[in-house]
Amino acid sequence: MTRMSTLFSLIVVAVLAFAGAVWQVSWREAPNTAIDADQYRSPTGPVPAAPQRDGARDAGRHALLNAPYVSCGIPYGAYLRLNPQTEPDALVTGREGRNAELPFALTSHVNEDGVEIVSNNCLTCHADRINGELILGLGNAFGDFTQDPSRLVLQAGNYVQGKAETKAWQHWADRIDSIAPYVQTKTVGVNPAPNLTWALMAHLDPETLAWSQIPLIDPPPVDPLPISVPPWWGMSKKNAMFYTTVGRGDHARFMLLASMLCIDGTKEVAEIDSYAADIRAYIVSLEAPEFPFAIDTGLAAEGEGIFVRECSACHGSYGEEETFPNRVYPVDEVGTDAAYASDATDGSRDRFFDWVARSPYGDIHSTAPAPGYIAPPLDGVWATAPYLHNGSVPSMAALLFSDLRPKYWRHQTDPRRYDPDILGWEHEALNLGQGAEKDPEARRQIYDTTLRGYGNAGHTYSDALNDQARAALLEYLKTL
Amino acid sequence: MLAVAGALYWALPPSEVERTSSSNADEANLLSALMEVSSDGFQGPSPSWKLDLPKDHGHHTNSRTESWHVATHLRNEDGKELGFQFSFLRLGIISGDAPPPTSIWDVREINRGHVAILNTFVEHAFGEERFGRGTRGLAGYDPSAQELRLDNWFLRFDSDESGSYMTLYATVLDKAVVDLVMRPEKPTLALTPDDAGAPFVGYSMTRLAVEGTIDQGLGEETVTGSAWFDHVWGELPLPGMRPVASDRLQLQLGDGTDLSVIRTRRIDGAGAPVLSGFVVSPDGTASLLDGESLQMTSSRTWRDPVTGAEYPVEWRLLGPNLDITIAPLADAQAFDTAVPVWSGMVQSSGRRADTVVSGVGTLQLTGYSAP
Repeated sequence: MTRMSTLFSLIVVAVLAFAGAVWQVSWREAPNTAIDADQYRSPTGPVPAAPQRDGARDAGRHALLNAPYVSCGIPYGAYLRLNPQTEPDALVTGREGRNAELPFALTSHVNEDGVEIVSNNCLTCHADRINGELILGLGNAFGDFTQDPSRLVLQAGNYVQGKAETKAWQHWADRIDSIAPYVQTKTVGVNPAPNLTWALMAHLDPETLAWSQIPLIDPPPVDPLPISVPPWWGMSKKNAMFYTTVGRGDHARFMLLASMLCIDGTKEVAEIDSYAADIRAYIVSLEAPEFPFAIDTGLAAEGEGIFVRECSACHGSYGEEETFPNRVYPVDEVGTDAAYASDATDGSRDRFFDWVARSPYGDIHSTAPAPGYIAPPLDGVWATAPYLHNGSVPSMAALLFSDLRPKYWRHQTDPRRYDPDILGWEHEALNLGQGAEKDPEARRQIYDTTLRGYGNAGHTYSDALNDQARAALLEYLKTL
Repeated sequence: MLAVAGALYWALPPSEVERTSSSNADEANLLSALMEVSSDGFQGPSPSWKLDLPKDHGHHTNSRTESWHVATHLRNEDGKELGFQFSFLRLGIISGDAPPPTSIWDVREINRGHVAILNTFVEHAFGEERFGRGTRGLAGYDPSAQELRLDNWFLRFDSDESGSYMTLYATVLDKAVVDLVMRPEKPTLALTPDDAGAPFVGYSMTRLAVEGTIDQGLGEETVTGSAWFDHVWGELPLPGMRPVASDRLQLQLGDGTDLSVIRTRRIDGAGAPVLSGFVVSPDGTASLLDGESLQMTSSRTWRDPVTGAEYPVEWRLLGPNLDITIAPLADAQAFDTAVPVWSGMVQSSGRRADTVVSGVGTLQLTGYSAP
């Protein structure tokens, strides 16, 4: 895992989360009047189900772990120079050939020129460890997207040899260099995937998927809004993808956007689409991990009653008779940081929704965010800290009682340890935010909730409970 | 110690020879070929590597590539400035972990050495390049003598009651004899891997006091000055054979601070250059520079009349508490060799931490060609 951290920090990859981002003045554009904004919006409230393609679960797992759906990356020779050893705990079963030797988040394939390429796969953002166990589908809460990914491009370029490798490297380098300005988050642990996707769309013709080094439409703003990667196992209950339910229609097709980093033409999309439904079938088959520590069953039983009374209406019910409302709640009602939802629905992203509608990735019904956030299913919620859509609240204990939410905080990472008492990773509250920290390395570790999009307000419903009730509720959440 | 080997690496030896206009393609191809024949079995540095001197002055034969580099800035008794650089590359063919050779003709490594001298009085740099094949006593590192040798050139590591020191001796094309003793003035800076490991490790002595003589055919001149020494090993990026290139700057400022900055870029001109670097305080404390808050912009270029390459020889370095202008002591410090390079002495002036500072340094520019 340690060697992977370098790549985590510098390679930009698969996109399975969507959101908006902050406009900067230099990129602000006049509204595109040719786009009908209404067709790219959904109301808050219930999210209707859409037909999904059937797929083969096992074939999907195999494709997820072995197929080259991200088709450009570092030539293997250069990769080996930079990462000569793979830590045993970075391996995962079910991989073949070279992939069996690579960290789980990397996939190898040989390109048309005979060059072996190592590229990131979906697990870069969608797998992580808790208590020593690798959990596929768990959002990576420690990925570092604060660094300029062009650094890795140049570092790898130092070890590229020969024309064929150079050509392969240039393909990858062109893509990374083009999106580099749009994917650097303020804080380690949050994810810039939406902006990454928008930035790629700006360079791709939506109909031919031909790459243009010069943007064809205005790129997104430079600063990405932070996203906490949601767990994959929630996909089995959700009728739409992502926090604002922007991903509608055929989910497998929408997921193809995750492979867009290197795409060059529609044929490649069709090839990946041939097994996309299988990957989705695998994803929706995933079950939440069980809480690996002791649970006070009596206290949890007490908490279940509180949950049914206070939480189920939005988050559903659990146990033998499970329900899930699939409802989006307006930003004003839930009160959590509004930037992600408002940027998705204020018209500033419509050119990208229109791009999807014109592309093989979707149609006019595919991208339709609502001005709010879906109340997510809570299966395995104990594992998904930090909480809220932007990862601004470090523990469930703090989510349940807003007085405990630190304004500035950072994860303890040396080593990182899961704290089963608070349902979160060990962290420390800080007195000062990023603006007061001069050391850039220390600064990027700070989660500063005063930054735009990083706010930790809202969802204060359980503040009204007493300490005993909150303790019982927290204990019950361990059982989901 | 500084956990940033990747950010610190100073240039590998450029292949400098007397200025000619000949093609360098064959030599570049030779280097590529040598890299290709380099066998498996070499090991990357351990993430837990710790500096161990004087042992680590010597070679690390289980590493594929290794480089020693000395850059000096000297004055003779008349105050005239002189520059001298010494570079030595070891390119492993067979790992030192392999069984002992059965024949003296077995080639385990290729050595490539280079020296260059700049006489600012005549504003002319000249150099000499040599190759060896790792024959003990003739080329390579000799543990028993604690010296790096290439024919009559040597860099010897030694110590006395005053501490450790290095002796550097070289002739340059029978035109000059250089004999220098160098003593570190700051703690050695270990370039350690971070948790994620590093392709190479090593150490830097960013400021050494130099005393010695240089004879350029008119008799020995006593010289004094300062030097910067780097020794790195592992999987070193060799310049000139890749789609990326670097501009590397080392400065010794008058306030006792030493500064290293590397500007890396794509040779095809795409993308944006990235900067990295570090600063060493007068007491030897090292800290990383935030590359994303640094700017290094060229303010003047010089066209090499031999190759036509346009080299950016003057720069401005801007950063937090930093505004420094860098200018060459002479423009003509380019070498049309296997890896065409501009490598030479520079001087600096400007401000650091609100204080006016000047300094001397070395700048190496690779990856430039005729427009």
